Amino acid sequence: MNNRRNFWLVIGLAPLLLAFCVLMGPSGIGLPDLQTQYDILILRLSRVLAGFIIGAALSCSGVVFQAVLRNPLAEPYVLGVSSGAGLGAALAILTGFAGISTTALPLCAFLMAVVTLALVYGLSSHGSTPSLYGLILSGVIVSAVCSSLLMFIVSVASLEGMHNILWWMLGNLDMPSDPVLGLSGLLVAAGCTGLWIMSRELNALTLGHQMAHHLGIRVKVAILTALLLATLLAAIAVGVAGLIGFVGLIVPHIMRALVGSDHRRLIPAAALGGGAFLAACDALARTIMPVEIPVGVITALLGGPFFLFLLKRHRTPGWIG
Amino acid sequence: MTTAIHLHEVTAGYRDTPVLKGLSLEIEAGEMIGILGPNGAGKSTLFSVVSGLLKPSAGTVKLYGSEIHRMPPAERARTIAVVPQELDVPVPYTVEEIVMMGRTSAIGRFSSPTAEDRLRVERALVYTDVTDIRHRPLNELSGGERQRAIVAMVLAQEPRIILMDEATSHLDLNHRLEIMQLVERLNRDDGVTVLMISHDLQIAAEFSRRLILLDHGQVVADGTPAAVLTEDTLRRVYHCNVRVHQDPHSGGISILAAPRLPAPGSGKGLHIHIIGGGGCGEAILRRLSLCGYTLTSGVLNLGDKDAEVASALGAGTALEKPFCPISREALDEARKLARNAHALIMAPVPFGSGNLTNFDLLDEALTAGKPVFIAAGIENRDYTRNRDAVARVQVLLTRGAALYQDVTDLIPLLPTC
Amino acid sequence: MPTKLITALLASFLFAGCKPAPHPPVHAGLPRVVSLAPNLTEMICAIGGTAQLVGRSSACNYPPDKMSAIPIIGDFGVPSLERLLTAKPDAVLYTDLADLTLDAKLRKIGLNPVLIPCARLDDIPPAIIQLGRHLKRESEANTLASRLTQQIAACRGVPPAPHPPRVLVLIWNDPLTAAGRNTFISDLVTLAGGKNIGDEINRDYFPVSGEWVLDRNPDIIFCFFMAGKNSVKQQILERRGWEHVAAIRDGCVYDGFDNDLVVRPGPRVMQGLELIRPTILNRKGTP
Repeated sequence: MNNRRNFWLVIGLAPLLLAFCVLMGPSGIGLPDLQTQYDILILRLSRVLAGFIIGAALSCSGVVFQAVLRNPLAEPYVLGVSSGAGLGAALAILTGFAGISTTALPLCAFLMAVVTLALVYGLSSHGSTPSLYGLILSGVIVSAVCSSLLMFIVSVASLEGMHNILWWMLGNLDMPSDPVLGLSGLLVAAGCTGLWIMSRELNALTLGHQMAHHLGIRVKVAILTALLLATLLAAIAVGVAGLIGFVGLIVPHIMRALVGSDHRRLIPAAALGGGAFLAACDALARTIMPVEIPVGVITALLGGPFFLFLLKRHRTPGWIG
Repeated sequence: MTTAIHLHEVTAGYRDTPVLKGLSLEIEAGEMIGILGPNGAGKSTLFSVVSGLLKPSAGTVKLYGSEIHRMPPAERARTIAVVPQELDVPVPYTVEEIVMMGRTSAIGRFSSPTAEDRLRVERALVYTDVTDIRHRPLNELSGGERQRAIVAMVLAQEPRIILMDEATSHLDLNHRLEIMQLVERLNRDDGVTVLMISHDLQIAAEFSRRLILLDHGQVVADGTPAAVLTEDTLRRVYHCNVRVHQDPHSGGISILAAPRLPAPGSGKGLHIHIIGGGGCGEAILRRLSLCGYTLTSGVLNLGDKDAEVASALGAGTALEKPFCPISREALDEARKLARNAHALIMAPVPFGSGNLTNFDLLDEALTAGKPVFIAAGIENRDYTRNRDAVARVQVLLTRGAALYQDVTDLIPLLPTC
Repeated sequence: MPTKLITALLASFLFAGCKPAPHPPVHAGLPRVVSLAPNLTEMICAIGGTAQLVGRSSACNYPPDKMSAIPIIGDFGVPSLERLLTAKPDAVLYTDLADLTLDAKLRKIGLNPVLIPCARLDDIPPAIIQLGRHLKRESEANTLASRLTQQIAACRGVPPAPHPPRVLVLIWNDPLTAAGRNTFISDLVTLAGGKNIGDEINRDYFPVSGEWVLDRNPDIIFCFFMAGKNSVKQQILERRGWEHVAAIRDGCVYDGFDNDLVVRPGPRVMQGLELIRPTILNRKGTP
């Protein structure tokens, strides 16, 4: 079967692509000389690893948001995580807290993302479990408020502060500190595994919440756990790397077209494929020009046409497969 | 016989407006039952309650002796399954993947489908004749194929009860029968209890041995198709005339909606004056307006529900000030309107001393030789001290006025052009 | 089909890269540095350290004849870590960084980042002395620094006019952005004998409203930016509602400066000063 073959293709090619990324860098293509350029190798490895972790987190998160919200346009930032994290980062930069250690900025961004999530959840639940539309609506509202606060901060910041905030918002994968990388790696692995374990719930939820109920799923628990895990994955990604767009929207669609919609295959494929995709985009971003290009530009430039190609081939509006 | 579904005094619905009101129901295992009723009767709410989607605000729902809300989800899925009217699958799952989802609760979280799971899926695919299209995405299929695939999913689930929620209403005649025969076979061979909601009374009558007719959240009739589908019962519940024929050869029942309204425009050029009040004339005004009659009404009090409807429909109305007894001026105005009318209708309006003078209009119409129609049951609407309204109706009847039960049988009585 | 695409993707990687940057020769024993800011690059070249400069930012453009030989490490304040590691400098000199945590990151990979504060006029001589230390070119640096200090002091010695002309310095047109109190530009205006009306705002750069400009009524408007091919001056002159602003009324709007001289706190600061000083001195302020 095509889907199964593609699944093993993705699983097999992802490590290859990652290895390839290690060979790429602005100082030249090829394996760095281990004697004299050992530190360059370490640098590339850490960056490829960061790309892989963030890509995996965003892709898995996107898969889950699209499945649970049953909406092809859903993406990891839909509940306002990105604006919350952006506000956290801006506050950290403005107060100078970000300068204290390399961990401070990711931590602030992550914490604010979690606070935003709690706020969105609190606003949409009136003493009971919130409805999906309630969640999305309050996500949009909280996100808008956070964005305006962020705008305000940017408008009063000094030129340098503004520069810092904008730089963070463009997103980059440059060498997160070891504890940040290690911890986020562990959390992302745990989150993706958790979502993989929920595959059958996710499968059933895409048939609609009533049908999932009839198939023997604890619908509310499943939805909330899935959204929580997915949002935390997104929060980690934003905390570590800033706002990297497009991966969480496009990789799920690409993977669904390649390996099918069964989450048992889709989640691992999205994690590995998405990770490799972002690492590869980042490798291109730091190699093709003397000055680094924001990685989001490459993800959009590579992912967009690929997505359109799949869309054209399948002719199904919105969802492809 | 074991009881498959037991509802005891179930009240359920929206927060403030219960749809089911103290409904009790008992269904034996192995029955095949059609649930009938007009829109809003509570059929879907009944299904939501039975499948555990909706928790009743009062009463208990038991499936095979255990309460649905206490059942672990996996056990619930093994007990009851639902075939929806339509399943919107946004993601391109293949038919086989969909059918395998019927095994969701049977397959462990950490295990993959066993040989037995595959066997059940295979059997369901064959049973519903979707083996050829097993690798096609569900959302590319025709309505009939799609519905068959969903039935296959429900089969793979192996429930003891199947709820069919208007499962065939989007299908053409051929596919409708095919699905129904499939379900009938399940019921006959495997003893699966089947409940189906259908607006197609004929299909319901043909495939179920017991029909339950719901209206306003309560059971109105319960029994064999022949016992439930009587002209009288249906007329009461659906508010329209039907003809029920039992085929002398097959015993099958056919139901025809009797011509209920004169053709649109049949009242063109005819003028009817309606005496209503308090909203009781609303239905008459609306229906007659659909038939193309020119309408007037009065005397009504300003702000009265009927007055609003009349003005919305463009009917001329003689009006009195709110909460006042009818004055001479208002009556004269109504008299002017009534004088041009070809017929007069008295809606089931309650009478007190204030609006009793409206009877004068009817008197004068009879004198002029015009037909007059009076809603039956004046005894229950007469709030005058000396039962004056009852007396006046009796006089009118002796002078040639006609009684009618409700709008449905009023319309055929009216003059047409 | 997907297989083909993935192959194509892999292939694109092979052609995507560029050649490793050449290593320029450096005098033995002298420290090798990378400069991430154009003003630092100018200072380094001014004290004869061009040969020690093994990397620069893409914004470093002066002296133009020396720049092509020095490899680009990244953007202004945004270096590529890998290029830095390849260049292996003894110090990475910067004035500000896009990524706040970059200093710590550089330290972690064994580089030696050095912040040379250079935001104000009075920062320039100490910055030059500091650079001299890092490049082991103390004598050249001290000479340049003391010359600059004297020139600045000489200018400050001129007694201020009783009513110095009010000066508005615009550094961008959309949104209209002016230089505030905490800027090198403000220092320059003051040194030239003017009064920067942006000084009342305790910020570096800030967006200005048309009304504020009307109210403060500047005598001179300097435009330190380019706006495509159009004349910046014309845009300002034709701005609605500003007809009665003194600078507009008297035609005292100036553009077309070498912006690298007037906004860059580098060794050529006195040339920058000379670009605006005559204008300010010739303009009589109104009380």
